[in-house]
Amino acid sequence: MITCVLASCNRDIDYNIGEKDAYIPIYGDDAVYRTVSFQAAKPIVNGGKIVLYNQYLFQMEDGEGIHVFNVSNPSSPQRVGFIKSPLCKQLAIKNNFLITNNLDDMVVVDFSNPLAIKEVKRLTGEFPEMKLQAPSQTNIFFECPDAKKGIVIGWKLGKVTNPKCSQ
Amino acid sequence: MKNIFFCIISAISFLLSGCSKSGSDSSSTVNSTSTAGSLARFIIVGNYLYTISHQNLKSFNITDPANPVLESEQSIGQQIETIYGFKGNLFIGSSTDMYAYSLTNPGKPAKLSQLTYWVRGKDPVVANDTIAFSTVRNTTGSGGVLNIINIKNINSATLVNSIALQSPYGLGLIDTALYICEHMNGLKVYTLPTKSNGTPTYKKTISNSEIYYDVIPYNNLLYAYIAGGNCIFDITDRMNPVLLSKTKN
Repeated sequence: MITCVLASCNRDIDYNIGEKDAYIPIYGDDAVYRTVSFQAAKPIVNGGKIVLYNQYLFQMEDGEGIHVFNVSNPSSPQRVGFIKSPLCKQLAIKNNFLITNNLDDMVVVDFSNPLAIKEVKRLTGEFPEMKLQAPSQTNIFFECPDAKKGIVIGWKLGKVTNPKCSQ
Repeated sequence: MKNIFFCIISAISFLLSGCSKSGSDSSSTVNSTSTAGSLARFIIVGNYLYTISHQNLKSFNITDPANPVLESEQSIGQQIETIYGFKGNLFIGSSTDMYAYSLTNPGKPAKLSQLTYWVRGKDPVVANDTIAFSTVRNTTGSGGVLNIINIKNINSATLVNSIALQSPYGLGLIDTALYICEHMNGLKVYTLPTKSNGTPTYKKTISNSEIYYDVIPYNNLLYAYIAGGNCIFDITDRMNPVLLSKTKN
């Protein structure tokens, strides 16, 4: 994921370039997105990296959360549920404490009861690179994020007149 | 004369080091650490969690995992992609370099060496005591290689051989079996020879019409990250993975 801290990113285009195909930020309320919760199992859409821990196999749903499977019987994995954690990219587990990211925070979740996980620690802003302050694509225009509108939780392609940002 | 080093000194610590996976749920204390694949960007080595951003390495003390404590943050390089730990050393790969760090002081890894590749690519790595294996996937165009590196002396690793691959992603190593994910070109099974140059022998390709990204071998099972989900193979016979289950969509 490329953020605008890299030298190749150009912000503040100050001339009129007309209407362009550009990425538009999707904003979310902190109250809704800066939280980790357990949900019923759901289909794998963009299955990503896997992690093994005791009888559990975890698979990232990149940017959204973690699918949890019980693989005690490897011939018949059971879907346990989904740990929802917006902008989730990675996880590791030690002694039933699952460590991941939620937006740009590091979060520790007590996994001792997998069906009733609970957040036990949050290190705010520990992963600044996890913030979606620019799209992951290159050679594009985008509408510069406005922090007053909330946290950027995704991007959509649209038409923007005189986009001010590019990379 | 250009000195070009292909040296790659890495391993997956969770697969081969002292990581204990078999915590008992019925006991009052749990002592287990997760095992990740070769594409990981978070790893746990002992009582520390190491995380990488595109430029930096952070070291968190997780002796009490409910309370991670950041002990150091340091700049490594650019376009950092992968991180591994093996026998007291940490190895970090970028698109152009491999960095070796010592974990003698685990809260503040100290740089040992920096080795530059001649080709830009994505490069997950696994290793045992004497040999490191790295797939390098070309990011421009197609193809890639498997690099085989002698690491008996960590300070003077040497490239032993390179084998052409089609579309390499992650890889996994267990005993004398090496599994390489070749995307649409399947899961390739190799056996390690006993001679010291370590060049593996190709045995077969598993397809099942899946696209393979990464694997975690553990005990007699091979867990695979495939497009659409994951699947699990029995690898009691290391050279003949038998598909047990597939979970997709």
